[in-house]
Amino acid sequence: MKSMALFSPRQKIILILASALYAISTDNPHLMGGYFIFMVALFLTAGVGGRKKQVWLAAIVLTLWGTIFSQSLFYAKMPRTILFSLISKDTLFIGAFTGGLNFYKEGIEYGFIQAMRFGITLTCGLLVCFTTESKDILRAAIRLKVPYSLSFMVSIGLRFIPLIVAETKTVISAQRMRGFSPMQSGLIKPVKTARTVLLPILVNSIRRSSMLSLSVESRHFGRKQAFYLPREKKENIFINIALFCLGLLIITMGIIKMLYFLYLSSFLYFPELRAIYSLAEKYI
Amino acid sequence: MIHFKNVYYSYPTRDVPTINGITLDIERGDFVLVSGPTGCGKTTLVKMLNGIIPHLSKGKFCGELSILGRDVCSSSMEELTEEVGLIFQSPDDQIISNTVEEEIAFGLENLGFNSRQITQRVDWALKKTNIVNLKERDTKELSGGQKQRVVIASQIAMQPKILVFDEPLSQLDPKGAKEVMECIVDLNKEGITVIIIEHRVADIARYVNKVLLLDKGRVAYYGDVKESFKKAFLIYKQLGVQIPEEIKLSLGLGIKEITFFYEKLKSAFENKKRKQHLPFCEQKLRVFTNHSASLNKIISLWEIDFEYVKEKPVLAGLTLDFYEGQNVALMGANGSGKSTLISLIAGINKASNGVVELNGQKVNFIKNKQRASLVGLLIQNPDLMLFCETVEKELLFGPEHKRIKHNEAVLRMNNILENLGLNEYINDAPFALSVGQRLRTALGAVLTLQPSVLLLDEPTTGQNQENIVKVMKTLKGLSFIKSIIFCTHDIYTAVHFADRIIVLNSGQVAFDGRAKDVFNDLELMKKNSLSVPAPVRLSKECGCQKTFLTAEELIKSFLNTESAT
Repeated sequence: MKSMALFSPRQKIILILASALYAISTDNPHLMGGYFIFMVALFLTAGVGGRKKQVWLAAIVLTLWGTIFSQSLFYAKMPRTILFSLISKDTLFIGAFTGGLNFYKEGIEYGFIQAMRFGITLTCGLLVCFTTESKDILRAAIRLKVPYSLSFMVSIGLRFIPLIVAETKTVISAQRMRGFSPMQSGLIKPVKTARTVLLPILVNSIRRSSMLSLSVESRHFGRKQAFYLPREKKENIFINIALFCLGLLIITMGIIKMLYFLYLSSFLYFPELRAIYSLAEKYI
Repeated sequence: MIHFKNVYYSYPTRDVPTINGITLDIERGDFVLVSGPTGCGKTTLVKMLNGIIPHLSKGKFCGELSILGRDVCSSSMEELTEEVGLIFQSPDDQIISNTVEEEIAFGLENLGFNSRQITQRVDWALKKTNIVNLKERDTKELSGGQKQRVVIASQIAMQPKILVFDEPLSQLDPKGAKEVMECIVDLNKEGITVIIIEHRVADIARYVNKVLLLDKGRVAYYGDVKESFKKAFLIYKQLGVQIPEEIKLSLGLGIKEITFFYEKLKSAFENKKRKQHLPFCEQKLRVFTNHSASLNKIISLWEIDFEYVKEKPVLAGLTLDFYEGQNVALMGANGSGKSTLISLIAGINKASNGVVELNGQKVNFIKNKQRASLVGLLIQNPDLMLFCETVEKELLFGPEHKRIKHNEAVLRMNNILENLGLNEYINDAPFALSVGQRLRTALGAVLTLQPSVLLLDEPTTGQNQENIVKVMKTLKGLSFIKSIIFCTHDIYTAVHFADRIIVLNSGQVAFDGRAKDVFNDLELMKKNSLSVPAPVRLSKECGCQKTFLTAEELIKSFLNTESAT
C-alpha cells in the first residue's frame, strides 16, 4: 500500500500547511528530527519513481549540508564553543584578516534545526507535488476556500513544472553546442550561466502563459465554478483524526511558545504557568 | 456573419498598422484559409475575432468589425467568446486537465452547466471529434493529433458558431494532420464557420471554399480558393505562400479545370497525353549524390540502442553512416526516433549501447568547444537558443566562447547576416523579431561557429514556404558545411533539399536511399505517415519512365516533350 494513496488531495494540502507550521513552531532538534524522519518515511513509502527520488535526495543533501555547514562556520550568538579551527587567529596574514575561521558546536545545533525546517517543508512539498495531479490540487484548494483564480494559478504552475525542467535541459544542451559550458565554478560565471539559461526559459514561459491565458479565456474562465466529476475519493477517517491531532499539537505548541516568549520578554508572567514555561524551555 | 469594414489596428510599440484597412465579409458556413508571410497580421486578425483586440490590447483600433451582428467594440469578451472558439498551434500549451473528459468539461464548468448537461455535451463533443475511445485517457499520453482533437472537442463542447484555428497542423506529422483536418471538415459540414490560419496550404486548400491572403496587414486576395490559384498565382509566389503540387501541375500542364484532387488530375493528365500522343521522354533533371564508399565518412553510428524510459527503446540496434557532401532528411512518424538520433549525433544524449563517431572520434569524448565547430544544432524551438540582447551579440556569442579573434568573428557574422538576410536587424533584440527571423537568428548563431555538420530538428515547423526555401538554399551555399542532416515531416522540403532520405520506424531504419526511391514502396510511405507528392504518383501511375519528385520537374519534362514533337 502506498502511503500517500491514503491521503485525499485536501488532506495533502492540510498536511503541507501543518508541516510548515510545525517546522516553525518548534526549536527542539529531537522533535524536528523525529518529524523529518516521519516525512522521509512517508516519502519513501509513497511509491515515487526513482528519478523523482533522485531529485528529492539531491535537493535534501544540498540543503542539509549547505545549512549546517554555513551555520556552523558563521554562528554569531554567544556563548559558542569552538570544536576545531579551519584558520587559526594566529595564522599569518589570513588569521588577522579573517579573525579566525572556526566550527562552532552551537552553530551545528542551530544549523541542524534550520536544516530540519527546510528538510521537512521541502520533503512534504515535493511529496505532494509528485503524488497529486494538478487538477486535484485545484479542487482541493477550492474546497479549502482558497480563491478560484489563485488555486487555478497554483495548479497550472505545478502542471508546467516538468515542461520547464525539460526546456532547461534543452537550453543547456543548445548552449553547450555553441561552445558555452553552463556548469562552471567561480564568481561571475554562474551568474552569466543563470542569465543565459533563465532568459530563454522566461521568455518562452511568458509566451506559453499568454497562449494559455488566451485558451482559458476563450473557455469562459472564472465566470462560474461548477464542478463536473466531483471525483474526490472518500477521505480516510484515520488520516483525518491524525491530521486533527497534528493540528491540535501544533496549536498547543504555538500557544505554549507564545506564552514562553511573552514571559521571556517580561511582558506577561503567570506564576501558575511555571510548569508550562519549563516545558517550553526543555522540549519545544 | 463576420463583417470587417476599413479595420485598422496598430500595436502600441509600432508606428505601422499591423492590420491596414481590411474590408471583407465571411458568410455563415464558410471555410476560410488565411495565409501570408510571417508578420502579415494573421494572428492579429485572430485576436480580433474573439475580442482580445480591442478589449485587452492597448493598441489603436479603428473601423467596423461585427461578429454575428454584434459590434466587437461594444460587446464584452464573454459575449464574443460564446460565439467564437479559438484553437492554437501547440495543444500542450492549451490542455490543462489530467483526463480528456475533464479537459472537455472545463469550459462547460465555467459556464455553470450541471453535471448531467456536462456529461451530455462531453459525450457529444467526443463523438463529433471521433475520440470517444479516449474519454478516460490521460492527456499526457496522447499523440499530437489526438491532443489537438481534444482541444477542438473542448471548444466545440461549448457549441460556438465560429471556430478559429491558428496553425493547428504545424506540429503534427501527416497522419496527425489528416486526423485533425478530417475532424475540422466534419464540423464545417455541420454548419460551423471555420477560419484557419496555416502555412501548410497544400494540406488544407482542398478542404476550404475561400482563401484570404494577407500582405503587410492588407488583403492581397480574398475569394474562391480555386479561382485564387488562377487569378492570384503570382500573389502566392510573391508572398512565398505554399502552392499545392496538384495546382502547380494543373496549371503547368495546361489542364483546363484546376483541381486539388489527385484522381481528377490523373484522368485529365492521361487525356491530355492521349490527345497529343505524347511519349514521355526521360530528362536528366536532378543529380543525386550517391552515398557510396567513394565518399568520406563523416558520422558513423554502430549498433546504437537508446531508451528514455526503461524497457521502452527509442532506437534499437541502429547502424548508419553519413558522408561528406550529403544532405540527409530523417523522416518517419512522431516518436519514430528522429530527434533522438539527432541528439545522439550532437552528443546531447549518450547511447546506452553502441558507438557514435564524428570524424573518427567518439562523440561523447569530444569537448564542447571542439564539438561546436564540428557539429551545429538548430533545435525544434529556436526561441530556446536566443538569450542575448541583440542579434549581433547572439551571432558573436559562439565565436567569443571559442576564443576566435574578434575581427575573424565579425567577418563571419557579417557573412552570415548577409546570407540570412538579417543585416537590418543587427541591433534588434532577438525576442522581438518575427518567427522566421528568430529562426534565422538562431541558425546564424550556430553558423558563425562554422560547423562541418549541421543538424536541424524540424526546421520547417511554423515557417512559411518562402522562409524554408530561403534558409535551405542559403545553407546549401555555405562552403564550410559538409553535410546537413534534418528531421522533417514535410515531404516537399525533403524532396527538394535532400540527396538521401532515411525513414525511421520504431527506432529502426525502414528505408535508406535516394529521395525518389522511397516512393517505390507506397506501403512503406503509408506505414510511416508519409504522404506521396502528386508528381510522384502521377509519374508512376501514368507510365512515365522516370519518377518526378516535383511539379516543376514534371512540367518541364512534359513541356520539353511537347515542343519536341
